[in-house]
Amino acid sequence: MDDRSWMYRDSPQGLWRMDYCNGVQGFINFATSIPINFTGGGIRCPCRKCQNKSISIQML
Amino acid sequence: MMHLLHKGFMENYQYWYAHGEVYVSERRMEETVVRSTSSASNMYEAANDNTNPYRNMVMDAMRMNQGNVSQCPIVEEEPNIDAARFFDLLKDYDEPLWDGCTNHSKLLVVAQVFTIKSDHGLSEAGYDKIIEWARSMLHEENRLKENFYVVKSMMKPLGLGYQKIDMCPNFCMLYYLENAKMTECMTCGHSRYKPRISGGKTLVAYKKLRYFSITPRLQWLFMSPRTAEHMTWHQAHHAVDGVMVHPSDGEAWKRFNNVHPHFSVESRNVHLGLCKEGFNLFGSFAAPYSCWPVILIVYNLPPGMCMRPEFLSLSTVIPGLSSPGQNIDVCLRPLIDELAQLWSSRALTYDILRKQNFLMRAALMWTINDFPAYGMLSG
Repeated sequence: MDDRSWMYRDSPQGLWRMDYCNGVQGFINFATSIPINFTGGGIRCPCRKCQNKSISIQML
Repeated sequence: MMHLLHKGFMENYQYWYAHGEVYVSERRMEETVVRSTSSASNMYEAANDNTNPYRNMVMDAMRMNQGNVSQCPIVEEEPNIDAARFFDLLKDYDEPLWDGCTNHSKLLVVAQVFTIKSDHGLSEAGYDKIIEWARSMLHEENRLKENFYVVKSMMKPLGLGYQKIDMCPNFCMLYYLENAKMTECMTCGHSRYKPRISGGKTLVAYKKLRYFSITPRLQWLFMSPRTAEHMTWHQAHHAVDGVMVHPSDGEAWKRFNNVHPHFSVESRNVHLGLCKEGFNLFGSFAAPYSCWPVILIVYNLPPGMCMRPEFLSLSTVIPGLSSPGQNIDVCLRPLIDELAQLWSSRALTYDILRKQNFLMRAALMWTINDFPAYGMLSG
């Protein structure tokens, strides 16, 4: 597995760090590449607030 | 995407399990490896090549003590009390039963008779009679221990003892830790001890709970070369789709591992099941007496082993007359305390297979009981 330390480095408030943005893009590429993720109508949002509970279509 | 950029990822989501990522089991945590290179440990290994199971038993017991010792920064020290006891045992092992005897040693004979006793449920008096008879057949100057009491104290240094905790006969409280010195129940006021018989010196409690500490028993499984290799079976085996041969093939287990990745990266962490049931010791026609054993099941072992009686570990014996009812939580407190400690602060354990110390954690996965017992356990 690749390095995931970018996920929890200092919180990205205010500044959007470059590695964090790239990491999120990588995550979305990964999630959209797996068709089973779309069975609920969209991709679940793993952010601090949604906690994978809500389906967030506007992620794309 | 805006959510993620603004709020960041939810906690503990390094493995994207809800997004189709297959969990990779080969990952290892940064290994907290403490290689023990003391000369003593080499000696045990050399001695362990000997295939005699009884000698191995003594060796396992010693590794147990050594595992605890190596926590201290200074390893090379004068033999402590534990080590001294161990060398006494080893001496017993090497001492022949009588001078000139080649195939039986003092400890070997005792351990063998001990095994026969427990396998066939021999009474203590029966044991003493057999030993008395065997002694009469032996040479005058034999070293066979004369009775069960002496044998028990001789076997004690091998470890895995139990703790007796006084309890209120109405299951209100245990005289345990902060309450260890009280003499009356603080809920119902029942006295702790039976009235003293005239001339009697010792105080006898009304009811005693027997608690078998779980940590040393789990550590033992890793310290014995015959079981250590099986303790990671649950992660090493390959599940066939649609066939469930072990709880680790089930959904509940996989879900648990996904939710607690910190626990599951170390395949040596122990998954436990708890089971309890009332037993009428004296048959259904005798005076009713129900005793409540609590048994822990180690699910790390392969299916052929984890349900074998020798790997089910008895944890608590709740004495009876009647069932503890809703107050069973009182009786389970020592076990709960220890499980909580094993989950949060871990226990340093020596793994004989990989020859390293590691921090073992344990999790209680589920309980197995019938419905009346389930009602009691859930309160």
